[in-house]
Amino acid sequence: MASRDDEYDYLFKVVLIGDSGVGKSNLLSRFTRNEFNLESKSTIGVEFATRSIKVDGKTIKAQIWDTAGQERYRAITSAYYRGAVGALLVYDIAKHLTYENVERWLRELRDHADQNIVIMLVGNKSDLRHLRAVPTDEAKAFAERHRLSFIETSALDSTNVETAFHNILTEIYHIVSQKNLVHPDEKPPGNPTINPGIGMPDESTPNKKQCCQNL
Amino acid sequence: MKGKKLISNPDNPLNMKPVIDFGECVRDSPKFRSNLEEQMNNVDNLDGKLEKLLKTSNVMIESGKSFLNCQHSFYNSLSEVSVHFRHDPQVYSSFSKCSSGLIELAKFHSTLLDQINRAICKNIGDFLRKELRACKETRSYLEKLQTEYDGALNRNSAIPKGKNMEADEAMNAVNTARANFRSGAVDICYQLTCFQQKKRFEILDNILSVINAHKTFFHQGSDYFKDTEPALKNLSSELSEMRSRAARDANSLLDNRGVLIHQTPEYISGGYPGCIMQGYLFRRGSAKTFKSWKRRWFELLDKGQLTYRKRNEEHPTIMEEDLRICLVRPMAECDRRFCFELISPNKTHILQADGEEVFQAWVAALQASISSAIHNSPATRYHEDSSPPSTKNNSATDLLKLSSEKARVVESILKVDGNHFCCDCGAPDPEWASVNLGITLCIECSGIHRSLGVHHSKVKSLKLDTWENGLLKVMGELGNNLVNRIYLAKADVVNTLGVERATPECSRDVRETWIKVKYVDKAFVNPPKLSTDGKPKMIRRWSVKKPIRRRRIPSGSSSPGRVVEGIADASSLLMDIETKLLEDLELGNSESESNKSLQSKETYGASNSDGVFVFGSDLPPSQTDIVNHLVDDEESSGETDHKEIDESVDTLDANILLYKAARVANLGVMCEAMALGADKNWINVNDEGCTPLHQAVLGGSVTACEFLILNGARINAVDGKCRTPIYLATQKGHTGQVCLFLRNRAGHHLADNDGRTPLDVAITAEHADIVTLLRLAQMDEEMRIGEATQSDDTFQEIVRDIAQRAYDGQESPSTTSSDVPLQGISSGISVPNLHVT
Repeated sequence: MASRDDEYDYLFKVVLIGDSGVGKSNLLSRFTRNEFNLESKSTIGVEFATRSIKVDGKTIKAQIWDTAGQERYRAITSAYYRGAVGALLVYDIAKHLTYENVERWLRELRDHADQNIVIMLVGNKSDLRHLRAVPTDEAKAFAERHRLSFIETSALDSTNVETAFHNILTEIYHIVSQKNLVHPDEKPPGNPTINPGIGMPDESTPNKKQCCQNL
Repeated sequence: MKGKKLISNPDNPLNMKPVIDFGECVRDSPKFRSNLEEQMNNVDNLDGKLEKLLKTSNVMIESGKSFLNCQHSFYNSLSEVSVHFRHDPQVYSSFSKCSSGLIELAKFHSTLLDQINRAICKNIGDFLRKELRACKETRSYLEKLQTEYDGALNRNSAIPKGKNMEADEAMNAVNTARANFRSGAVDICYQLTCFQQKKRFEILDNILSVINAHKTFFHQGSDYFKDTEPALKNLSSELSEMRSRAARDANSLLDNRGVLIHQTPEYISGGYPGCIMQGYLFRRGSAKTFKSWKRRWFELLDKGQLTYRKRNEEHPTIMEEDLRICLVRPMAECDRRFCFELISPNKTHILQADGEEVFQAWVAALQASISSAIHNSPATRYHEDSSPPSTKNNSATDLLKLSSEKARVVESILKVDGNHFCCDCGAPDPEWASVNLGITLCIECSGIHRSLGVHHSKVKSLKLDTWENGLLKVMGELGNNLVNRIYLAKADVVNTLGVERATPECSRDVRETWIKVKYVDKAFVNPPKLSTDGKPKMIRRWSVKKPIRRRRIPSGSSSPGRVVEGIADASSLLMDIETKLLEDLELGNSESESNKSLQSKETYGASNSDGVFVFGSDLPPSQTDIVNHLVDDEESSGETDHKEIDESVDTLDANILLYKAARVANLGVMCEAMALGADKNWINVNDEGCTPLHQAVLGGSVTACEFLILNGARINAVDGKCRTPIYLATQKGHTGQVCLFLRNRAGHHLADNDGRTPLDVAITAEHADIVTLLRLAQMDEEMRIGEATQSDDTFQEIVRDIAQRAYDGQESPSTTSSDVPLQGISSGISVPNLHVT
């Protein structure tokens, strides 16, 4: 599936995490191949796909790592996060347990991923309106508390899938491009390990609004 | 109320005056009745009040006890606090004095409670039960007597005239009943009177006891404090002294404050023995995208190492373990200031100091350290490993120069039989090795080996090169003694050939000739002689001995369910061997192959009693235990696997020997077979077109595969069904082998005759690690094609991680099947070497 659009300005590694069966693989296939499979099997190990998008005239190539949610199909984990600049933390809006486990996944991210990683909370399967178990407001409040972006998507009917990836990649792009501009003196000395939050809260706020408007 | 009057009126005569007139009582007059009623009310009244008194005193005592309990736990925590000061004798002794005093005081308190309890609850309670209740009982008995008396009277009065007999009887009954009633009435009068008297002192007496108990309590307290007063005074003066001393010290500390704050340099020269310099530097992350700078505590060690760690990390990570091969220079083209680079053959680290002074200090220290490491390195380090550990006084400092990791590598390799002397000239303390031959070499011989070309000898430095676990194991399986027994088997032929044996001092020409004759011409290799005691006709069949390996017991793995590769218990081992046998049978081993048989001589091997010649049976036990932490992940160990299909001797040739030896991962025999000229890529047409590498894969050993690859076996060789070694390794679920093949850039996408690729196989088998590895390899390739630059480190790092984990025999997360989504993950991450930075 290698997209041979070799020219790109940035390559971002983004990981998809979340409980088994929340629809990570379908989000990936919807975004990269515009495909959806109702009877998809559990992901074993890890799958990859790439897609390039344009932001501010720059080509951003997203290398997306889709990981197995199911414990027994997971290979070594910290490798998933090595070098990842973004994470889509997916839960199923119709299964409350998958939402409850979000905190665990967050902990895992904090433990193993780069501290600057941009995290977006994604409530997938928004097409299942009649089965909704996680209220949008609750998830939104949770995301705000943890300074995550938030969006609800449906890989089945394509709602917000594009937007979700677009937003997180834009956010990463802003952070990375701004970072490269930051003069060394302006960076506060020390504390790189202590502050676990996302480095640029000002960056994430407008994006967050953007996602929410799309709900 | 008469009762009240009795208590409250002090003028009341104390002689026993009945509370109810006895005269009235025997007559049962209304006055008696009303008096009795009054008295009983009085009793009831007191009863209720005493009852309440008991209840409240009970509550009081209970809460007192619970207070004491709380106090007790309070003192316990107090003594825990005192333990905190156990290293400060002054504070500790005062502390324990105070707390023991408090405990004593608490004892007084509990005595007080006991006494109150006895006085009120027991004594007054007894009074209440005995005296007061007795009155009530007598009263109700009187009621009964009265009923009887009334009945007798009624019956008597109802008797008609003339019935004298009956009248007499009734009269008698009346008299008896009257007597009973009167005695009852008198009794109650008596009892009530006694009671009224008694209550006056019984209760008061016990109240007095309570007062006395309090008196004792306070007395004890005051005695205690009288005794301890001097100690307490002492303590308070000590305290004020401590306080003033603390203030003084604090002031003197603060005196230095300005100096400390403004003049302490951002780095420490020295610090502790062995450390040249330490301090914080920013380190640029290796991630391509973020380029994040992280502040780490760096330490430059005088053994020529640079380490760093996070501020809250206990153990440092080694950034460069041998600065001799590094270069440090200021970095001009960086957009940040005060940056310098540390360049090693593998990597370039970019570091940033906080200011010019610090920057200069670090660069100078690093440069000085590098040059000093270079100057006092090789010459002085020659002796370090030749001397036994106990007597290496002089070389101890030299050993320090090597990092522990390197030292471990060198040590583990030199431990193998014969490796303390160069394999070819016998010079002591070889520092080089030929990895495909499994031998150690001195620097001169290693030069000759290099010149032979990598198809003959792959040379590595023990100290300057990095050693993957796989290579270490190959080295551990072979060794100079073993290899020389093969390559110098016909040592006596030396004279006839006229080749001069190499010595540590010999000329280069002699050395070169010797080495070429030995390894290229293989002139001293002895073909197998299938006899050890001159009875060649006895031997009909042969097999290769499975090397005995000591199995490392995996720590803390009590894995239920599936047995992970490498963690095989006895039963699964047996199964392992059995299945192997079965597979061999199915594959239809080449029983009848009969060409170019080599039935002459054999340098090692022995025939056993069954007339089966077993190659490798006179091998010393494998040396793998020396590097026992590296024991192969997938090799089965234990039983000498004689039963592994004996071959007819007719079939014996070098190729089939290598083939069979690869299957049982006997590197010694493999080495011999190759010395005998075996083709590393020989295809066994009688066994589905497998190559030795296929056999090594099926045998489950990573080391055997590594050894074959080192010796030029084709990594993408296919068998009759077009299956590559990596395909078979995937099919067998041998993660370690898959890692090895991927590291050697095997064609992981090559499909078999049915069009199935290794990835398809891994997915079907639901083997997460292997799926991940194969997909990563694929992605890595695509990225490299797209980017036309060197591949990302991620792939190599992940392969190394997974291989490491396979070597360590750790369970893969897939076996820690837990319902909780993340618990297993965290355990899976506790792999050393995994630093997400």
